This record gives sequence, C-alpha cells and structure tokens, in this order.
Amino acid sequence: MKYYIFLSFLILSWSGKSQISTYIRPCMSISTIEKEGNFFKVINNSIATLNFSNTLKRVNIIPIKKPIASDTIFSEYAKDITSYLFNKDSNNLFNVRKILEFSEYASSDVQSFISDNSADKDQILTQIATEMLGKVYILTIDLKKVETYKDYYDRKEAKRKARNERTRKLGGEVSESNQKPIERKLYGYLCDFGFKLRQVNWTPEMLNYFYTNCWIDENTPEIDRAKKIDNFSKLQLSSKVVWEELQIDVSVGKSKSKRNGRLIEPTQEQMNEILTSYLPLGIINQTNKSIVQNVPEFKIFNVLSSTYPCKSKIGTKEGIRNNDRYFAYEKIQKRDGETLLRRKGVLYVNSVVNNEKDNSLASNFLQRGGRSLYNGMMIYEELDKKINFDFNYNHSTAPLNLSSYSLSIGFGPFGKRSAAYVGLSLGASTFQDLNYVYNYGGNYDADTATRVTISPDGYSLSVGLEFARAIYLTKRGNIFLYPNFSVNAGFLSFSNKDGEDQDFEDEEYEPSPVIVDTRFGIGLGFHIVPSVSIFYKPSIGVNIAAWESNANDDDDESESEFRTISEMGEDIKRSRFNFINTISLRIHI
Amino acid sequence: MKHFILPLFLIFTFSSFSQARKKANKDTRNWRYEIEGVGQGSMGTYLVKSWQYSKKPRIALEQTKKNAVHGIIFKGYPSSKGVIGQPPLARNPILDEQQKSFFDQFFGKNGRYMQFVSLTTDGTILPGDRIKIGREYKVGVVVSVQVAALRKYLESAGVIKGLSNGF
Repeated sequence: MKYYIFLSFLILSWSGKSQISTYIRPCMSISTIEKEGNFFKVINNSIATLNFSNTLKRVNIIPIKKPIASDTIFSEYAKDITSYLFNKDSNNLFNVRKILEFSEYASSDVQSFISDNSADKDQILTQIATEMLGKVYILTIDLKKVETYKDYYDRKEAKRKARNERTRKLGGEVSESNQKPIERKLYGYLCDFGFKLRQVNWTPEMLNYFYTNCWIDENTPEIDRAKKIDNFSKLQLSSKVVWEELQIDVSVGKSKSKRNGRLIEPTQEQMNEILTSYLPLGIINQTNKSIVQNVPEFKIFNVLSSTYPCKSKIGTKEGIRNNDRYFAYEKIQKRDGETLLRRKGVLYVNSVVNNEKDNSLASNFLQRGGRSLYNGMMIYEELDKKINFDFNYNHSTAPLNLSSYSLSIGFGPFGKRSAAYVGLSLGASTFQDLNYVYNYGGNYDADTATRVTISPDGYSLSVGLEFARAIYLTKRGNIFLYPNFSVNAGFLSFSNKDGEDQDFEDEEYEPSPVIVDTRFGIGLGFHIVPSVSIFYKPSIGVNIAAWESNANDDDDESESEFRTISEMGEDIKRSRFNFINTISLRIHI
Repeated sequence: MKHFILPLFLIFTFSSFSQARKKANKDTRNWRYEIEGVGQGSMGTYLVKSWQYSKKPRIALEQTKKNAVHGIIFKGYPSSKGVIGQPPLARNPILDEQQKSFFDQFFGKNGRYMQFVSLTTDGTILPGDRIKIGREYKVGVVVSVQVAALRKYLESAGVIKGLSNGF
C-alpha cells in the first residue's frame, strides 16, 4: 500500500501535477536566529513554544521551531522537516500518515467526494500531498533590536534635551512644547526584525532518490537499512529564498493606568506577559501579513460554488476575513489551445463560515463591480490596502465655493453589506470681487466698529473630513448610492482689496477668515474598472461658523474672533446655503 | 395592454428555458459531451468527470448527470492519469437507434437515469473546469455513476445482454 502511495507521489509529480490545481495549504516551520541578549532569548523561546495556529490559519504548521544559528545549513533543517512530514519514528521508519492527514484537512468538498467514492480513498489525498510537498517552507525570523518603551522614551528625552541645548547655544529660543518632558504614557516593547522565507526544493529527482535510497519501512530488508539511514543522514535538500523582509517594526504598547493623576509604572509580570506572549504574536502577525501579500503560493484561490448570492467553499480554515478582496476570473481557451484567465469581477467577503469540520460550507461574497459571474468561475485573493484617492471637482453657483478642486485620501471599505468609508480632503478654490464686510482694525464691538466693505480677489484652501457609505444597488455591484456627510474648514486669503489697485500691504489689518461648512449628500457611483470608480455627488452645503483674524499680525498668539455669517457681506451670506455638484474620480488601491 | 404583458413574459421565459433544455438534449444525443475517469470508483461505481458544452454560461447540472450516464452506456472512457479506462456498457453501436423509445423515456424529463448518478452536494466544479472556448462554455463536473445498478437495470429491461450471455 505504502509503495503504491509513494509510487503515486512519483508518477503524479511528473505527469499529473496539474490535475488538482486547487488551493493547497503550504507547510511551514518557524525558526529564529540564535542571538545573545536576554530579550532575544526570551522572544526566541516564546516563538518556539507558542502555538500560532490561530494566526497562521492558511498553513500547516510544522512544529520544528528551535532557534538556529545564523550559519545553519538549511539542508539539515529541511531534513528535520522531511522526517516530520514522513513521520519518521525512533526506529528510523517512515510512513505517509502525517502528510495524508494534512491532505485530508486541506481537501475541498469535491476532493472529499472523489475520495469517498473511490476504491482507493488515499489516491486523491496522495495527489494533494504531492502538491503539498512542493509547498514546504522554512520561515526564519531574525530579531535585530528589542527595547522597552522606557528605553525608547529615555532616548527621545535625551534627543529633546540635546536639541534644546543646541538651540540655546545658537542663541535661539526653545518653544514651549519642546520645553516639556516627553510624555511616558505607554509601557511594553518595540522590536525591529527581519525574516526570510525559504522553500524546500522537492524536485521529482530528489523525491525519487529519497524513496529509492533513504525510505525505510517495515518491508525494507534489514540488510538495506543501515545503508539507507546513512544515505538519509547525507541527504542534501536544497532550498531557495522566496521572500524576505530586511526590517519590520513591531511595537506592543499598553497604556499605563493612572492613580491620583499620576501614571503607574507596570509590574514585572505585566512586562513579561508582553515580552513572552504579545510581542511574539505581533511579530508572527506582521510576518504573516507580509507573506500573504507577497508570496503567490500563500494567496487563496477557489471557485464560486454559487452566484447571487455569491458563495465559495472557503472559510476560517483558510483564514479568510470579512472585507478581503477577491477577483473573479474566467478561464478562456484560445484557438491555438492556449488558456488564459480574464478578470470578470470584484468580490468582497461578506460573511465567513466556520469550515474547520465541514468543507462543504461556503462563505458569502458580495460583488462590487464587473460583469455577471457564474458558478465555476475562479476567484483569487487580491488583498487591497483599503486606501482611496478621490479627485473631486465641486461646482456651486454660490459666490464663494470653498473647494472647487479637491483631493481626498480615504480609507475603506469597512463594515458589511454597505461599505463604510472615511476620508480627509484638501481643496482649493479662487474667487473674484467677493463682497466682504469686515470690522476695520478688528474691533468686534458692534457699536463702535468701523465696517468696511471690500471686493477682494483671492483663494481659499480647505481641509475636510468625510464619512460615507456605499450602498450597492445592483447584484453586480457596479452602481451604488453614496450617502455622505462632511465637515470642511475653508481658509480665505485675500490678494487685493478692491480690484487691481488696492491691496493690504500698507494696512495694519487684513481680514483672514475661516469658514466652516457641512455638506450632506447622496451620490451615485459607478465602478469603471475594479480600482477606478466615478461619482456624481449632489450635496447641500451649509456654512455653520466663521472666524476672522488678522493676517498681518505676526503675533502667533493673536486670537481669532467668531463672526456671524450674515455680517460678513452679501456674497458670504448668499453662500450660506448652497447646492454643490461634485464629480469625483476614485482610485482604490 | 398591461394584462397581456405578464402572460407574454411568462410564455417567453418558459419557451426560452424549454428551448435551452431541448438544445442541451440535442447536444447529448449528438454526443457533444466528453467524459473522463477521475478515479477508480468504489465497488460498482465509476467516478467520471462529465464535460458539457453550452452556449449559456449557466451550468445545467441535470444535463451533466444525463451526459455521464449516457457516456457510460454508449461511449466509455479511455485510461488516463493513472485511471483505468472502461468500455461502454452497450456493445452494440446502434443500440440507441434500436431502443429509441426506451432511451427517450430513460433520458426524458424525470427519467430513470437520475437513479444511477450522484454529484457533490451542489455540483461544485474544480478550479479550471469551466472554460470558455470561442462563444461556447465547456464545463466539467465530477459525478459518481452506479454502474453495477445501471447494468442490472438495463439487463433486466432487455436493453443490453448480461455479461454471461457471451459465453
């Protein structure tokens, strides 16, 4: 039986490797580079002993996690992994139970169906195991620097003092904010590390050599065993680095509690807990994130088992999360027989199913753009950074438009069916002959103020904060409503007073108003391509507050005065309520 | 006018479904499908992948089942990828013409063919088994056909001869 299985391994690795082409869980062992230093040793030991199965959901973890020397020959390490995968026992006997166990866990429901209805139930599992052997990885984490928050604050404090000293020596004055000591709100650790991900190179030739010259089981004649043990000890398994990060920062900081207004220092127990549990977990989390984003073999792919509602039989077992992005592809065969994948739509995970025990359960996806999808189309994980850049053109008939052109950077989608977005915008606009009234000299006493009406040209700069949701109207998710609310502050700058000939250069007082507006609107959006969409966003803008200060006053501490909109001139008053038409182009990455 | 819209819509929808089914049945009769072995089935069953061709992107699962049973009776499948091929149950190449009325009923709507075939819970397709070729779609679904029971049924119906009849 075992001979048959191994023979299958060999045959399949040469001929039928493309038979399955489904997502195969990689096998990964985690090791750390040995280093002197208390923190390094504690973290390395924690990485070696902690169970990361909840973090590294989409891999089979090989529990060989000993710290290794930086000059370790990875062939030796790969051999340990081979011994684990082929379940080598104390008598040097191999078997395929472990790798078939992994295969069974990784199998899809179609594969389970084939296996259950096959005369040889292990055949399909053997196929999976064969592909799995091509995805055996060694992850080595190299800790570079670990420091406590206390050390970090000490360093910052020393820098601050040195900077202030330098300023004083140069005759400058240290600002008030720089005179205050660094606040020490957090406790915990900061860590710099790098990692390398190596793939063990299991070629068909290597597999053949291993089976012929190293494999021992109960059927192996006694006379051959010593030779085969020796062969295995000399076996050279090559590996190649498939991904590495030279420097990743991770910090685990917790807020210090307060007693009588004073920050309480953490206990040794609290610090140890972070060092031995939270920090190693943070390191593995960051590493996993980097690998999943950059190594194709770690990206999930599957087929749509049904559409509208879109479902695919993946879930917690594969470590998928809500709002992960997937692209749907159609396989196309050209006339010359060549096949290619053509992208057909974008899907986001809407609800994740727990499929640890039942691989026939399917997670829900929502389509957000593209063409009609059908059962059997392939979906590939393409995680996005959830960052949006919006280029907006705002048109308003009001005399004052705070931002005719604006650029927003936003984050989203978040949440479930209707995706939430939040964004920050920077805008600019110009105006001419704006009817504006100011109290000359900045005297805001209504009875004594000298009111001056001017018609300045100028420009406004605005900053804004927008909250929005996308509510998808169609099943394909190409068209969506976009209710949005934003708060903007526009800073007006006057370039002259009345046309070309009068400016503020010789005047003591130049009004510099800030107008705050809110905008409510319901936009209509359309996905052009997965990463680009356009919006039409009609909204109602309401100017809710205004301040005025003196632009010619060099004193930083001069206070601005609140002014009512209606007192600021006819144009500002007319701009209090306005209807704004916005056209936006969104690029999503 | 509006009283006519709904009935017209229903008639149109029904007739398009009916046309699609007729087209698929015609494809099966013309052997416009393929079957291939995907594993050695357990006792008395064959595990095959049934490929169907369709101009519509939606998969007609019932047609897939029909194709698989039709293929086992009339085509068989060759050896491939470590799976031993099987000859067709019908040794007479013109059996379908000779027993036309039987097979029309057998493969007809709610025909008996359904008793001998099963697929995954909802006919899930393996990645890569849905291919667009020109304007057509070629879709493969793995099904299990209970060959022993099918053979017995066809023998008892007198459509094919028993294995012992040749000796």
